[in-house]
Amino acid sequence: MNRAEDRSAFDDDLAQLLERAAADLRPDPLYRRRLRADTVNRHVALREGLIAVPRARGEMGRVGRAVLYASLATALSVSAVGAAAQDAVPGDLLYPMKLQLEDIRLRIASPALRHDLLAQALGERLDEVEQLAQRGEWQRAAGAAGAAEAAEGRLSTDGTVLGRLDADEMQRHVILLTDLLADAPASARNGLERALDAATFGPARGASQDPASTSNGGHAGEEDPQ
Amino acid sequence: MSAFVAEALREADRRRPAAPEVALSTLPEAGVDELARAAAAGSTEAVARLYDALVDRIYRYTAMRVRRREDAEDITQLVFERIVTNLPRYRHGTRPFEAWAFRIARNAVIDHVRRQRPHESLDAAGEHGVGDGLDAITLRDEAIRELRSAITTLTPDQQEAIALRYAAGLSAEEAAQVMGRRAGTVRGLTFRAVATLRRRMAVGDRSAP
Repeated sequence: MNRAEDRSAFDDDLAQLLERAAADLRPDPLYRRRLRADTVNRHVALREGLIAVPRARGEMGRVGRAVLYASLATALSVSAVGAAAQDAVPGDLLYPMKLQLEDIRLRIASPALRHDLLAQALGERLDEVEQLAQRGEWQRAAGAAGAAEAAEGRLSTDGTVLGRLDADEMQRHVILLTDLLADAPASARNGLERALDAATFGPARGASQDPASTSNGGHAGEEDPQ
Repeated sequence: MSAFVAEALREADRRRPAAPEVALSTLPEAGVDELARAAAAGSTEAVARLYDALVDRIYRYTAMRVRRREDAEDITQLVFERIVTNLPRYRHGTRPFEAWAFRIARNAVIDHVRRQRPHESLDAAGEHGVGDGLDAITLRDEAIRELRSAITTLTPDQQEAIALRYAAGLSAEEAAQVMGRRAGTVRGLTFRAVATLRRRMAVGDRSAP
């Protein structure tokens, strides 16, 4: 621990008391052993494919989505242009088409698929922010956060509850965005924090349905008091 | 042991030759990052050692943030589930594993607090932990009780900094990576937090009968 630089500024007695207070917080030995076994078992089960590994970011997750895409791809019949638009990010020529296609899908989809579409739209917007940030296009990434917020707003207004798979996907967004935020220049931080806020919506809603399926939240609202 | 786990272990044994087990016996002093690499490569031993290396600190961190034993246990369990699940996606070399793991813990705590009291701030949530919740966690003397009570009056960021520095045992640089802040900011938060605690505890001393 590198706390020597702070120690000089603090009262030693208070620092010691803090350390003692922390040291008092010990897990119950039985709980500790049980969790160790659970953790190792889970690792083995995941490694051997006995339980499902959550989908990687950007993967299509549900059968409903696959069916939806297949049917809508036919209905919309925009072929190569439409396909190309799927990979567009804010600022690209085809990006408005991507949004229009999503909007059309939402309008013609059955109510049963509405939740999937709204959740998918939020995932897409977060993907776009992340893609731009990973490419180092920080200002475009920050600018794209507004669309993520809007997607989150639509999901919120719709009143749907995320399922476990959606919550897991949002958890991945939270982790990735938090990583990116640490590397972001100051000028892009606000935008990324807004995207992170949007990503934390999903898990919180999912939690109300099934506490076991919750994923983590971000640090929205925790502004630096300095 | 549940039937599922028993079956999982049997299946794991059957497939063992194909699993990339990394021998750590030659690395008795392997660091956390080294263990994380081996764990991501499939080593069960590395996962167990990683757990041993982190569990107390992650538990202390969560317990200091939520203050109820049951919540701390639930969150710690959730954190290790996420660590194990996301191990293959951990990007080695980008940042220390501990910072990555504690970031997961931090997010889990924040998620928990929001879920418990969606309309209250972290400050307000902390107030409810004083008294009954704190009593559930071993308390050795009144000074520590008073200190923990005083901690709940800090801002969320100050509480976070204190928990990461003193409960998790992270350096200012490591805590900064977890919080997504600069190390100087974390030092400042810690400094102000300690100053506030000192002030509040001094007030408590004066008002004591």
